Amino acid sequence: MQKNNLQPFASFRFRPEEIAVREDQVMEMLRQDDLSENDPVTGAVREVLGRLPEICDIRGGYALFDDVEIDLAGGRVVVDGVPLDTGCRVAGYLRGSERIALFVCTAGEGFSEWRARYEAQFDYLGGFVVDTLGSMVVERAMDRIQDMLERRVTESHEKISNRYSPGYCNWPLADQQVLFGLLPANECGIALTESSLMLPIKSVSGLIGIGPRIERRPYGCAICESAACLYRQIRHK
Amino acid sequence: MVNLRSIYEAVLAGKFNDAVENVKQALAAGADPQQVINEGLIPAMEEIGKRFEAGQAFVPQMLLSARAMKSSLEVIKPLLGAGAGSSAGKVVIGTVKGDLHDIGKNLVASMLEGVGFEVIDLGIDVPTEKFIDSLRENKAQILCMSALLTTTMTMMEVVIRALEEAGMRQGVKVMVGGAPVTENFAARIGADGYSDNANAAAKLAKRLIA
Repeated sequence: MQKNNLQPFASFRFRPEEIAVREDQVMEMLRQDDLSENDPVTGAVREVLGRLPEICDIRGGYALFDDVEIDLAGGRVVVDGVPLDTGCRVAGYLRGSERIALFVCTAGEGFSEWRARYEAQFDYLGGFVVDTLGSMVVERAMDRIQDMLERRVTESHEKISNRYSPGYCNWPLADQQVLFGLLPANECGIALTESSLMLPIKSVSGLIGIGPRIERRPYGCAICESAACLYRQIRHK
Repeated sequence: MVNLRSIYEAVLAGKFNDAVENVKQALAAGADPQQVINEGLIPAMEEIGKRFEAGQAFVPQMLLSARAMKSSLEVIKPLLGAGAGSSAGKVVIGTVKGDLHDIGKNLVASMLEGVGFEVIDLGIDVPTEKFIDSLRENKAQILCMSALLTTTMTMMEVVIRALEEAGMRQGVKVMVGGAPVTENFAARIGADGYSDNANAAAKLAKRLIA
């Protein structure tokens, strides 16, 4: 099913300071925003933030596809003749898309390495802070890329959708293999495991709809009603 | 005079250096290692678990206490003779295949260990066969499975069916948890229990093998 001619990939690399995760934002994410200067959580956050330059290797980008069909009834998005089984929900969100951007982004392998280092010393808090920061960094980097994409398509009077990812909104994770098949191999240093997980772990992938009538909608945690979700409690992806 | 209260306080406060020091002092003063665990470490972990469940403590505080508990256990373990330790039971735990989210799973593992279980943590993205093999090898009484995604929680049922096919289902209690998992889902797939937080999971585990 895969085409031989891959679309050009717009590639970006960021320094940690360009992503600019602030201490107060991390503390809020951890629900620790009223701690003293001497609290061990404050210390752990500062320590990991200080290490970001050696932990991060932030890379990402997207490829644009003009040959797109949104199959609402079948719950599929067909990109360059290749069907992605997104399910009806994501396909519905992409209604009106005339182009599609497929994206990947990673915060780098350093987050897994540093988390393991902390946890080997039973420093579970340090490991947790590393993990949280990894999620924040990769999402913020992808926000930057999405903003750049939006500016680019605004020139042609188009708008963009939210970003949607395999594994979420009933889009099977296994489709990650199909999505990656539409992108240059090992783009940004991201590889897939046999069970379709990305390595480095702190990576994201998915698609964004583009068109003059497309709309951004509430998505993910914003529309989830699970009161028991630990990730809601810690406001963590 | 052996001061187990100071161990309890240090673990509860997540002060691992103090906890280790207090454990060493208690042992030097003649405290029974198992008594240190039962009356110092376990009650402290139970209390932080209760506070977490009640919204009075958050993930970082749980993790600080877990470190203090684990560091203290490292001091005590060499003193527990073979077979002398009174483990509450053996648990195999992991995040199901296709899922890499493990914060909740790790909290449950720490809590289970904190209340006296021997925990075999298989990590993330665990294939069905690995769960089965580990349960068999370790003769574990409980299997805990975690998933964060609706697209991966279905693997829990696959593992339960595999347990049945392997003829091991009768000897293993299955607990499930994770953001999209519900009591109804747990019942539907044939799990023995569901919990939505680490403290409740520890209590459930004790109840299941009582």
